Amino acid sequence: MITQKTRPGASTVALARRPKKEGMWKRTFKRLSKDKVAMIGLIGVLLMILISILAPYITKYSPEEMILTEINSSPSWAHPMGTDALGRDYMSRLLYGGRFSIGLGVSSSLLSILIGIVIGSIAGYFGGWVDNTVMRLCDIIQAIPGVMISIIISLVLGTGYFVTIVALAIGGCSHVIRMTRAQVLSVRKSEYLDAAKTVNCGSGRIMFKHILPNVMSPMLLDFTMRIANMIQFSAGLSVIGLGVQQPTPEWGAMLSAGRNYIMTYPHLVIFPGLFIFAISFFINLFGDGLRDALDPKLKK
Amino acid sequence: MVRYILRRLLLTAIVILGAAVVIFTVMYFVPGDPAEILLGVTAAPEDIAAKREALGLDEPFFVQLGSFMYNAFIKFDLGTSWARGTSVMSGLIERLPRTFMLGLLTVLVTVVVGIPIGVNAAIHRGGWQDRVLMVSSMFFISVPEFWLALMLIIVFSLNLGLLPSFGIESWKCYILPVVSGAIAGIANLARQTRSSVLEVVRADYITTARAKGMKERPIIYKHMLPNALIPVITVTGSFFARCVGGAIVIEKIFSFPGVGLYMSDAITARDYPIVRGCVVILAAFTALLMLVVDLAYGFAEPQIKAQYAKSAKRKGNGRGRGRHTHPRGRSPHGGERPLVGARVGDDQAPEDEQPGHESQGEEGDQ
Repeated sequence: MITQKTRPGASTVALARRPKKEGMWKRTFKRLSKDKVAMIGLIGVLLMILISILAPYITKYSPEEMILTEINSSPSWAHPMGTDALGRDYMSRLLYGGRFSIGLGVSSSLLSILIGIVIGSIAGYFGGWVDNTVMRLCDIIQAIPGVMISIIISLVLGTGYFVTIVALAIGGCSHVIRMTRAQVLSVRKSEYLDAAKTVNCGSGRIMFKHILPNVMSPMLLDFTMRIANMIQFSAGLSVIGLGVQQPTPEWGAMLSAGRNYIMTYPHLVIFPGLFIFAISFFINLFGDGLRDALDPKLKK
Repeated sequence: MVRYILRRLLLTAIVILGAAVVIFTVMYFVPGDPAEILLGVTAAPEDIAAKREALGLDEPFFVQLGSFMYNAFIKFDLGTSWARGTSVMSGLIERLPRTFMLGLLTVLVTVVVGIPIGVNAAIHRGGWQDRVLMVSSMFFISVPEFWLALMLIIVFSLNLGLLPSFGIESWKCYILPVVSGAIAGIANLARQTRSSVLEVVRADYITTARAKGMKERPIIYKHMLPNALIPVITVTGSFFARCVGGAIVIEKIFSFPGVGLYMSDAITARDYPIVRGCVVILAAFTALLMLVVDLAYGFAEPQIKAQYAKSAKRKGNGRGRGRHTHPRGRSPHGGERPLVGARVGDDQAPEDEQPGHESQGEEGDQ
């Protein structure tokens, strides 16, 4: 109701079929930019990315530099977040860690979405037994808790940064497969595709110009929310002894290493967790706004 | 309905068997020779060869898979632990009840706290209850579970000394694990409940009830809640599955002797039969739980029954709308992960809905 009032001409615009001067993305972004909370989230995320990129200019310590005289020191002026068991400045490790953690979140989400889109659209496009096989496989994989899939894949592939990205991506892709397939199916029978076919549109053009853009918006939302989940998941894997491990300055790995010192040096646990929390919080705020902005119900 | 139940039972059985095959196959590729892990690197090659034969590792893959499946599902034997030499099944039987207990308590706390908060926020939409929920829930959803657990340990065990941080000796030991598991769940469930109630608020029968002159309170309790809480069954069910399936981190942090700790110890010790057994059991549990959720959903939601009865005739319906679809466009399997699937901010008028896009989401699989 509110939206109707604020944009009175919207439905008439759609009816008049004005040539697409204002694309879906532009409209989404406009709507999003009015959402203050989402903007706070976006600014927060960008800020965290920025400080991890600019880490060398913010701190004077390198994340690997060990100052053996200052092992496990508590937060002070020289080391605002203290040092760890090897005398490394914790703040610089955390700032550099953003590169690894956010990178891990983004790349594993991206990989899992890519795998999902390829398999899902194959299933949706071809239908028949291909579709059936893929969907039954998805049923089976979804019965295994996501953490467990990542765990057994990590067991096969071993620990390490890139391996963890793959393990997390595979663990989460069955959801994307389902989503893409449902999207492709719902779009495939729509009138505008029939229209596109009648005007002799090639199947490549149909796929990229008509189907994919319609499938994209829920994917984008899923991708955004997934980043936060992946960062938390990977930290969970580190705690179990899989995933990313020291000496990579990744937040989850640092948190899990700091766990051994929880009695004596709680700052080793508190700070990495705060960073993970902050990035998840900002991503969730942004994603929540994005969901409202992309909500298909609002599409005109 | 009987046909529906039978069909679902059969599908669940296939899913469980399939999951076991997938798990066995993936774990087959775990690097490292089990015989070498068992005997140590210094063992003589003849001993290792003998051990391999004793373990049946020299058999072809399909023979091993077959015997694993036969043992697991006919004899209910998930193999023997390499490090402990004990039966994996008996270890699981000892630990599963504890993990279930922890999961049940977490779900109970989540439901008892989360649903009233969500309903309250939806009824006072736009009021302070609503705003506090919307802001604070984002905060709590974002808190990493295990970090929260560690923070609770620092505050309540190390500094205040009020609660134990490990073990299961007394009821007090359950408090911290349950709280750290439930916080994010409460926030998520409250949000889902809120949006689900908000969807019902606009329904025609609520307007009718108001038009009849019905008082607001009976409208809420008799008309709104029973309808609004149906989708919440699904959310709660998948949350329970996540509590049990994802208990590994929480159990590790609190040294809680459940399936999760059993498994994470086995990962450290490279005791793969235990890992395999745990994953198979947890997958079977998840599949069964989803079955229960689906059936509960079917009983609670008459439209599903009706749809299933019709769906035989409607085969070939081009929309790709499956039998689980119901007018609110929710899938019983939605909400596997927090937030995705939550439809918060349903502030739009229903007439905004576009028929071509209503099956967005994971539904549509038949």
